[in-house]
Amino acid sequence: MILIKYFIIVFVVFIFQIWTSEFFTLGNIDPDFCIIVLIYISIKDGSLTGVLTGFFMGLIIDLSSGSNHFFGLTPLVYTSTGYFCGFLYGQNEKLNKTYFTFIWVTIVLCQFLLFSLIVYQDYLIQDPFNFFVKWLATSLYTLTFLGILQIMIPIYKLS
Amino acid sequence: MRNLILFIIKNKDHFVFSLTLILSFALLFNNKNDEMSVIRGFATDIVSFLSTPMVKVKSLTIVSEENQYLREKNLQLNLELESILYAADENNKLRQLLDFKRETKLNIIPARIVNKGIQTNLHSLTIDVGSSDGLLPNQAVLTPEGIIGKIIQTGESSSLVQSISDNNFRLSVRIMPSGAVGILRWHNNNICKIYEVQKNVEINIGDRVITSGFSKIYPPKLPVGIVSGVYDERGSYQKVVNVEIQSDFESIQNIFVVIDHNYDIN
Repeated sequence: MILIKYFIIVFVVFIFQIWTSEFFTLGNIDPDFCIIVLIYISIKDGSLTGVLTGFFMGLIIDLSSGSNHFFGLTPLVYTSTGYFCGFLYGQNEKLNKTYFTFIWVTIVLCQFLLFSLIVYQDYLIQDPFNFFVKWLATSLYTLTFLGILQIMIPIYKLS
Repeated sequence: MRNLILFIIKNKDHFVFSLTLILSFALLFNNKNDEMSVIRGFATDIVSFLSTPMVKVKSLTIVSEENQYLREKNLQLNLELESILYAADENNKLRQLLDFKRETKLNIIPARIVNKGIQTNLHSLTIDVGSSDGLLPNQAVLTPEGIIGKIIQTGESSSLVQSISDNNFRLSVRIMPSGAVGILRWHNNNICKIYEVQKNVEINIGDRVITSGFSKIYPPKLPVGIVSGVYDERGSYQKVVNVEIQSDFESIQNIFVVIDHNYDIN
């Protein structure tokens, strides 16, 4: 039952991402709504659900991109994010709010760093400054949406 | 074996993670696989189908914006076209004036109309040349199409012209080819009337009307207009002739002033 629920959520977020990607584009930077949902799911239900959701979500995204480059990278990155975020499951009682938030923000930054290291590897060699700008801009843009969502549904309480 | 299964179940998170990680790497290192290309092609079709509603919404928004843009562009182009047509028209008129100045043997100077009809009791034109240019009262004002008035007052750099459309303007004219003479005065809408024309003279519609030369103000044989109607006056030995003067009388901008009185038209 929980799988059907998450399948529907993933599908809805995927459609939302397709429909609104152009609307939220800022220069060359797009927010990643799928990762936001994945973090919520992982922290709410643990690593196993996070890993499975991340893998299938990543697979759908890579399949839909139609590009031959780096096929399998998104499942890899999303799986890792789901896995590590899953460790925060039930940790709100043990960790304080700041430390808890710091961990999932770090996971998001690492996830985008891993993605950028592979996709923008040319940038890293030719123009490291632009690489870091690109990585930070993409991460912070998604984190902004995640921050806005915290007002309505705080992750800390969800855990 | 049971312990192994229990170990796997206990650490299922890590096993599933390792499994998906291996699968992801396998996909990453098999990018060029043809079978995957087929699956990706199919997935692209599905994404394309899912994107269709938003594409339609976007295209509707674009249509609205495009419509607005095209309307603005249309207006802009219309204004540009008007400007070009106006420039072409002005170019033609100036070319005619230039030709006239080159061909005429009269001593004339060009002028530009800067105002029309300041005074209510007099149909007049104000031109941008004055006494400093050699202008004096009672000098003829004309265009290549014909007489349009005479100077009645001169300033340093501007002059007042009594227009042919003024009620008190009179002009001695000759109707060709009959040679009949008469006095022309304004009637309305580019139509003037010639009075004092003998009844026995044969005048036809389309005959040319020129200045008679009897006046010291106007040189002879300058064009005035074309006969557009002839009427007999009841109980009189004279007839009245309608003359159509130049059609764009109200839109004239450039004129000439005849400054030399010792002209020789031949």
